[in-house]
Amino acid sequence: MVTIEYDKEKNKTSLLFDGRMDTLTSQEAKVKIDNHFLELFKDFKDRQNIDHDVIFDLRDVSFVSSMFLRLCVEYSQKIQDGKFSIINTDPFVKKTFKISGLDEKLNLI
Amino acid sequence: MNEVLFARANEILDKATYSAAVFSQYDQKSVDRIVENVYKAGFDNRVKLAKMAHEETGIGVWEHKVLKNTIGSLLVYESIKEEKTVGLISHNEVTGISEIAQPLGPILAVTPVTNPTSTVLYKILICLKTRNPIIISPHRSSIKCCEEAVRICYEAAINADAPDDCIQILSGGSREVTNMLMSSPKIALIIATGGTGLVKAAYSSGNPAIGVGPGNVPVFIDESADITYAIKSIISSKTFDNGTICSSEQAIIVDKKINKAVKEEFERQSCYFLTPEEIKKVEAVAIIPDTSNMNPLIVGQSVKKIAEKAGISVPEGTKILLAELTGIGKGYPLSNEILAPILAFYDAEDTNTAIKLCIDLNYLNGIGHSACIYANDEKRIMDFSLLMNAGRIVVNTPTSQGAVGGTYNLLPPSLTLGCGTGGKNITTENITAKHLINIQRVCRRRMNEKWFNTNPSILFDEKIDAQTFSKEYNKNF
Repeated sequence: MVTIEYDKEKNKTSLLFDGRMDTLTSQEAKVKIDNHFLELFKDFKDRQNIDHDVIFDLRDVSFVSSMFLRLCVEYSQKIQDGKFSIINTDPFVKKTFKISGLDEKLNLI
Repeated sequence: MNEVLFARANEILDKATYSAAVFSQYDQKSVDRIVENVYKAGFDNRVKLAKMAHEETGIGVWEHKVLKNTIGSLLVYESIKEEKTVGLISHNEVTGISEIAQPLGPILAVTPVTNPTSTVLYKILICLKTRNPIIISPHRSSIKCCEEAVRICYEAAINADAPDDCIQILSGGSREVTNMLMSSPKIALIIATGGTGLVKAAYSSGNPAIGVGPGNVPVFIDESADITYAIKSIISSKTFDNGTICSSEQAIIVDKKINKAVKEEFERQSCYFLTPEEIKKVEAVAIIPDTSNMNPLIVGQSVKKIAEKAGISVPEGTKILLAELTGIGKGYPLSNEILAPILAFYDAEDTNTAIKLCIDLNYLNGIGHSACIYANDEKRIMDFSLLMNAGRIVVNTPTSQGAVGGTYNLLPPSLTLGCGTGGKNITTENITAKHLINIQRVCRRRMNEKWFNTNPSILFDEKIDAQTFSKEYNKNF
C-alpha cells in the first residue's frame, strides 16, 4: 500500500505507493502517513507551510480514488510551496490527475 | 444566503471534477455493475418516490408517477444495459476505423417539477452508464423528493464501488447560483428539462447544452382511423399523470366528415365539450394573459379542480375538458401548450385544412417536439409526417407514453426529448446514454485508390471542369 522512506539529512520523506489506491487503501495509507508525520512534527495536524520535502512516488499505482486525490491535496497544502511533488505516474494515472485539474497544483512531475 | 450557496456550488463543482477524474479509470464491467445497482434501488423505491413527488408538488397522480419512475429506472436500464460506453466500442476492419468512448465530465442536470423523480432516476442512469458525474439541480417545488431519489441512487452507487461524489444535488439555489453552475468551465454539459426560460439560460451559458422545452402536440384523426380506439388512446394519454408530460396531446384536429362521430365518441367516453362561455372561464385560469404561458397553478391538476378554479360545473367523472376553437395563437389562449387535461378541438373543412391547422399548432411554440396521427392509411401517415416539424410523429399511439418511448414503440425510453434545430437542439432523438459520450475515432491508413490514381496535375489546369475531373476520378480502368 505505502512504504515510507525518511531521509533526516535531506529533510525529506518519500512515499512509495503500490497497487490500487481505492477508498479503503487510501484511508489505511493516510493513517500510516499521518503517524509518520506526527512523529516528525508534534503539531502536524495544526500546521501549514511545513519546510519538508514530500514526494509521492506512484510508480506502482494503477488506480487512484477520490480519497487518494484528497490525500494528495491535503498533504500538498501542509507542505511549503515547491516542496511537495508527485512522481513516476503511469500515463493512465497521469491523465486522471490531468482531468481532475490538480496536476499543476500538486506539482506532478 | 447566496454566498453560502455559491460556496456550496463551488464545492460541488470541485468534487464533481475529482469524481470525473476517478470515474475515467473505470472499465465497462465496473460501470455496468454500478448502473445495475442504481437502477434496482430506483425501481425498488418507485412507489415511495412517486408518493413523495405527488405530495410535495401537488401535481399529477401518484400511481402514474409510479409508472414514470418505472420507465425512468427499469425501462431506461433495459435499453442501455447492453450498450458499450467505455473504451473501445467498435472496430471496422474494412474502413480501419475504431471508435473509443470517452466520458464528457461533470453534467449539470436540471429537472422539472412535472416529472421530478423519474427524470432524476433516468438522468442518473444515463450519466453513470457513461462515467459522467451528475449534479442535479431540482425545481424548487420538488426538492425533497429529488433529494431522496439522489440519496437512494448515490447509496446504491457507492455500494457498487462508484467514485465518491458521482451523484450530487444542489437544492434551493437561486437563479444566480443556477446560472453560475451552468456557466462554470468545470461543467461539461447541461441537460436542461423544463420551461422556455430555463432552456434559454442553458443555451446562453457558454457550455454545451441539451435543453428541452415545451411542445404543442397536434393530433390529427384521419377518416381512416378507428375512432373509438383513437379517443380511448387519447384519453389514456392526456389523463396520464393529469397531462404533465410535455409530449401529451394539446389539440385534436378532425376532418368534418368524421367530426360528429369523434365528438360523440369523446362524450361517450366521459369527456366534456365546453360552451363558449365556459371556454372563457377556463382560459382565465389556464393561461397567463401577458405571456400566453400556461398557469402553473393548473399544471397536473384534475378536471374537477380545474373546473372548481374556473367556476364551472361539469358532469361527475369528466376525464378531459375540450374547447372547440376556430383559430390558433393570439386570441385563442387554449391553443397553447397546457400540461393539464384540457384539449383544444378543431373541426376542419377537409383533410388539407386539417393538416394545415396541424402545421400552425406545431409551429405555435412546439417546433421540433412531437405530433400524432390516427390513421390506417399509410400514404396519409407519410404525407402528414413529411409536413410536421417534430422529432417524433407517433402513429395510433398515446403521445405521452409514445414519445417517451419504451412501451408503445421501440424508441429509446427517455424523459428528455430532443427537438432538433427547431427547438434549438442538436438532435431530434430521445436523449439517452449514447448522447453523453465523446467518440474518438482511430483512423488507420486505408488508401483511396481513386484519389491516388488520378493525375493531380490536371487540377491546376483551369480548362478542366468538374465533369471532366469526375470522369477521370471515377475511371475504373
